[in-house]
Amino acid sequence: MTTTAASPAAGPRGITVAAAAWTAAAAVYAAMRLLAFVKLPVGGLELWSLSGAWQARVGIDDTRYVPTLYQALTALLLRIDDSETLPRLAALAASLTVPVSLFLLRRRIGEPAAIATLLVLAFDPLQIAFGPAATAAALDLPVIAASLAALAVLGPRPPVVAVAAFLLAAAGPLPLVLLLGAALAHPRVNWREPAAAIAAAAAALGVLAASFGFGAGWQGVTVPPFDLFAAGFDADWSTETARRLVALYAWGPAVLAGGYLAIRAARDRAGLFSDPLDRFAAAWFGLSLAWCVAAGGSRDPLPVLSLTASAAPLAGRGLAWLVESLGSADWRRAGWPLAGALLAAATLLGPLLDWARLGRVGPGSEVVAVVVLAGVIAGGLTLLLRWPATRPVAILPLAAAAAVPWLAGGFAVASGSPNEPLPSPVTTLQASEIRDIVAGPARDPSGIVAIHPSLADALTWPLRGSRGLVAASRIPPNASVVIWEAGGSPPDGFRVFEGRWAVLRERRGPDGGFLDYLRWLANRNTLPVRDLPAAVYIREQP
Amino acid sequence: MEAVLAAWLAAMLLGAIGLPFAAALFRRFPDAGAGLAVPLGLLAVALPYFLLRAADILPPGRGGYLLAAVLAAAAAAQLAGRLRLHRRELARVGAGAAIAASIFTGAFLASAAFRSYNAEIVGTEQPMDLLFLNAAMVSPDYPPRDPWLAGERVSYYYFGYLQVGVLASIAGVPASTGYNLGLAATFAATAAGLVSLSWALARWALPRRSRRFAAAAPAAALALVLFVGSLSAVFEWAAAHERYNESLYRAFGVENLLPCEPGQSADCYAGPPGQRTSAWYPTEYWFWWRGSRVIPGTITEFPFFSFLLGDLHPHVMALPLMTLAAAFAASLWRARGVLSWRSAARSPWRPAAAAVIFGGLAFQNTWDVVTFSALLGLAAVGRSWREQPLPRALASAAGWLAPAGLLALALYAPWWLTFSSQASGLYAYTGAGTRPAHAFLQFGVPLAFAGIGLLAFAPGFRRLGPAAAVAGWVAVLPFVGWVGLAALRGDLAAAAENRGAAGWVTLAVYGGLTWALAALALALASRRNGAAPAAAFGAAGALLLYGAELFLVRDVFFGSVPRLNTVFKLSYQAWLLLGIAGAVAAAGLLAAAFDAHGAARRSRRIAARAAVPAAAILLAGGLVYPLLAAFNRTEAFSRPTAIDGLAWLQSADPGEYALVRWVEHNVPPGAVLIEATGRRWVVEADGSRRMVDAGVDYTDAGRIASRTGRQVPIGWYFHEIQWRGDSPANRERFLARQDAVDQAYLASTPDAVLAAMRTYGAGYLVVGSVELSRYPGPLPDYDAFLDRVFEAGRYRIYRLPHYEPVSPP
Repeated sequence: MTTTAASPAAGPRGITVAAAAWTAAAAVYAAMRLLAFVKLPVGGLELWSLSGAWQARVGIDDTRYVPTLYQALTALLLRIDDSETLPRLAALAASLTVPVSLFLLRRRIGEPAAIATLLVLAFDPLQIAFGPAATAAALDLPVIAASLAALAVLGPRPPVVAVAAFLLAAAGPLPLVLLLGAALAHPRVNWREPAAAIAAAAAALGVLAASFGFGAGWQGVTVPPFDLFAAGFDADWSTETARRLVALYAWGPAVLAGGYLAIRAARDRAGLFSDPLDRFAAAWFGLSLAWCVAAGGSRDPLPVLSLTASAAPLAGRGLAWLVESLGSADWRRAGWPLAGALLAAATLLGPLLDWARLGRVGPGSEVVAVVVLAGVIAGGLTLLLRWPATRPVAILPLAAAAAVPWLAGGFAVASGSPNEPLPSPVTTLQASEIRDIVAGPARDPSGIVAIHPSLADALTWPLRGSRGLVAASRIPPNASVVIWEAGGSPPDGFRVFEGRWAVLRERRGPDGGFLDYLRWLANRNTLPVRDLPAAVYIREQP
Repeated sequence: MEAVLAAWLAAMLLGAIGLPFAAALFRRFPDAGAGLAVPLGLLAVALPYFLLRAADILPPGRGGYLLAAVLAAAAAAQLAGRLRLHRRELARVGAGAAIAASIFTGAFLASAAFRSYNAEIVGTEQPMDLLFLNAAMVSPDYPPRDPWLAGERVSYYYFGYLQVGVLASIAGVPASTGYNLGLAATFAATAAGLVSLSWALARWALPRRSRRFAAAAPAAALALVLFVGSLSAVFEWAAAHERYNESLYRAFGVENLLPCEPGQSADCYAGPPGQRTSAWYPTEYWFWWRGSRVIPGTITEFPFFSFLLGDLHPHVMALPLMTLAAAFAASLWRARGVLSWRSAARSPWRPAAAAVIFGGLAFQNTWDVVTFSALLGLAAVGRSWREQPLPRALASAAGWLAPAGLLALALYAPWWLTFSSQASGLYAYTGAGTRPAHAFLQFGVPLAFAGIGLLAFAPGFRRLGPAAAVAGWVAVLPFVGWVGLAALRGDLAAAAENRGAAGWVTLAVYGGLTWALAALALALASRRNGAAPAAAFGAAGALLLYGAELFLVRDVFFGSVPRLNTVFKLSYQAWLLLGIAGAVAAAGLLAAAFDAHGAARRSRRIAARAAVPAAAILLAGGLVYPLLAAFNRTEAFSRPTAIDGLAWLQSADPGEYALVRWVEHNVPPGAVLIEATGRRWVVEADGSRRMVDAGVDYTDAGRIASRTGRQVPIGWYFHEIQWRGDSPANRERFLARQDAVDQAYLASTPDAVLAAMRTYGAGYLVVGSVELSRYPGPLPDYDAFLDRVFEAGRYRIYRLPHYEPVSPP
């Protein structure tokens, strides 16, 4: 890959390969997010965050309002327009600064690696889903990238440090992992430098601002990264657990990053990670992985988001290294083993997909064939790994195997496919229709709307703007509309408002093991959906 | 298995966090203090967690614990970056960490496996322990709320529970599992710490040529502190197999194992004649319990008994921290230079570390802080004394210790401010003294091993003489104090008589050994001999036993068993100190006996060789207890295994188990519930109801609070009295709560139920197994005015109706 360092006297001015690559990568990155911006339903963490911001906007105390700078901004934007469009636009705009930050960081991480990093981020399902989403942590990755870029380009000048510290203190939990990674990778921070004092003061200011809810009133001492990090262990921000989200969407870049680190460790035995950048990236990635392990059982997508964000620079460097190494590989020697392995892999897919479709392992002869083919693949790869000149080629099939499901996930999430467990649970059209009922002529304006407590949180966002909503376990006498758990008979004096009402829709990933997963990869329209049903009752007019 | 692995990983993480701190504090230890890394890591996480929770900066729940770990890890990384370790030191740290991790892992897995045979958290005070652990883990604010007294904070030393909470939360296991794994981790951390400390002390104590014998010290320390038990087990075993000699049993004070004489029913064996066991070990239910009650009117628990019983009490959880504190004192003495106000200002991190460790000890088990702070003071004075005259050394040491003490008070202030100690003064003990036979059975092994130090390290009578003259005061002063205190109360004559001849003999033995070991420590310290700390530990251990014969701390048991807690808590500390001293002495004994090139004189070598078999026999006798008790407790390892302390409930009463888990997952941590007080009621012939049993302590009263950490108006009545004081006001207050709660189940109108709930801010009411058994007759029709939110068979949970505006009106 050529670099941008072209001499002005080198000939007629043209577009360098690097510039073209940057443009293409940035365009893909932006396009995927624009697509998601338009297509993704409100759900999961975004639904939780918007609900909290809405309650803050109307002055109701709600634990879902964790005053990160972005959530405070969301509450402000909801005063202008009560839809998710403006907050999403803000999130989108912030996420579009990431390519710029990477561009500024290119000299530190290497231009090919920076472009590859951008591509990894561009196609990553988690980053796509959360890039333009109005979640409380929407600014996390943009702030991280911008802070690193500003520090790299401008150095630790007081204004840079101050702004970065303020933003990081008022962001979500992702920067915490980054900061700990920095502490581990660079354990000799001079705390007596003025920059450290400035950073501490700016961070304290960020905490103070958050404690005052950025104008929403005193919230108690609030450190938003701490609060969101802790809330993730108990909240239901995703139908799938973090562990399963990794298995469904994030293992590709994670494996690539881990593989790159392993190769670096093997090649750099004398001074393990002597490059400070590698050390820092490794620490960030390792800690994100640790967060995923610790929070593996919780329904929190943020650790997975942190994992793919931290994996991206390493995967980018790994990809750049792989491309460079492939150029110097001994292809004549690698050709046959590689072709054999790829051919075997392609053949292997046939029976495997067949089994996946049927949901069971095939007859013995097929099993033998699959084992033999797997043996051929393993043999081919072993041969490739045996010779130093062909080792990089061995990574190629593995990288491809990781990339295929990952890319498929990226496109499916970006296009808002109704069969993706990301985001999930999502709010439904029926929930919005309930809003029309609540605000419509069927409701007695002097009465209240009683919502069963189990449905109240799910309906905060769909019923925004409605007045007289009460979460109640018993129907109050002055209720004119009742939104209740489905399955019961209408209370005395109420009639059923006909319809199949569902306030939330959950989409779970494949959970029947490897074959089920494979079936989902081959045909993503196989996932069951589960609705949270509700009943709507209207008081009968005398 | 997943939970065990997760807890082990969490402990390794804590060890990694503690390692830089250990390397900084214990650089002179052969393993660079790696064996003490886990308790240091726990402190490094638990203290910031406590302070930041109290300041409302860290959020509650697992996330808060993990954030504290993140902060501690960042601090540890910064410290590691500043440690300027040479390559050899780095290698030592690495090797030490590997050894410590291996010991910890082996001990942790073994202890967890053993505990899995008795995993159930039930009986004794285990529900109370689970209560505090849950309180530390789930309380919505800090200092934690007392789940057995809604609206109040815990008034107890709960730092140990907080530390187990750190381990369980990082591992992501519930409190009922964390309880058992916390016990295993305590055992393992103590083992690793003992190895580190005893190895260091032995290496310091032995001449360079004999240092290979230092390796015996860690093994001896593990055996003496963690495994050796009461020698009464030998008699138990013989009696179980009907092999006893009556006069011998009477001489050793174990006549309670002899068959009852006609007409006798107490203090004797009342079972059928013949062999009392069906196996090679005694199969009598909990025979080993008697091993902790050998001295009448006291508890003489020792570490193996603690881990066998499985009560997660503060004195047990404090073992790793006590070892750490002892190591800190030894390390402080070993280093060079005068300790003064100036040295504290020059390198403030060391007094700060002392503040964290010793302040933490007060918070973890307040009884321990006096003893170990005294050792710290002794170490500070001893170090300065090497370069200054005694008066100046005292002043210098005070200048170093004062800021540490003040910082300790400040760091743990949120606890001090909510803790109400029930100790109400030091008194002369005027009752019957301990019989020598009982003292021998209970403390014979560690005392004898500590005493071996005199043989192994004594520098000769010429050098020991002057030190003995000074050290005599160590034994004389407490006695003079006792005489003074007893005389002040006018009890001196009666006290002297009550003690009895046997009691005076025991006192003389304890006093003599204290004197001898103190003299040894002084003589060695004056020459900066590395055996001095071990001798000082031995002297301190003997002094604790001696002191517990003379004095008592007045507490709530003063009227019935006045010295119960004093002997219990002080002898537990003594066991650890004597065990460490004894382990170093054992290494010294082996060196003196078998080191052909050693410096030991011929007479000493002969004496040492003669002492070795005697010591081995004594040690073997002490190891009979753990062998028999382990088989008895686990029914020869045949009981079903589990690691969740509530697994027994799941099989015994699935509905009740489901109820507990429902509360855990659905009731907010700050909520108050109503559950049975535990008082038993019956229905009279006229239909009225009458209370027939008011005893609630040590029963399943307050079990929902204990198992979930949610608050109830009142739990174990007498325990609250113990923690908050036996005053008429408290009695009245607690009784009023019991009455109100009982009314919630006995009332015939909703108003009484709602009044009870509203008075204590309760949002939930439980009807489970205890409620159905304690309150006979029809319960109020809760469905009429409360929401039924849980149902499993006959068990229910009700909630006050919910009404909350969620939008503008």
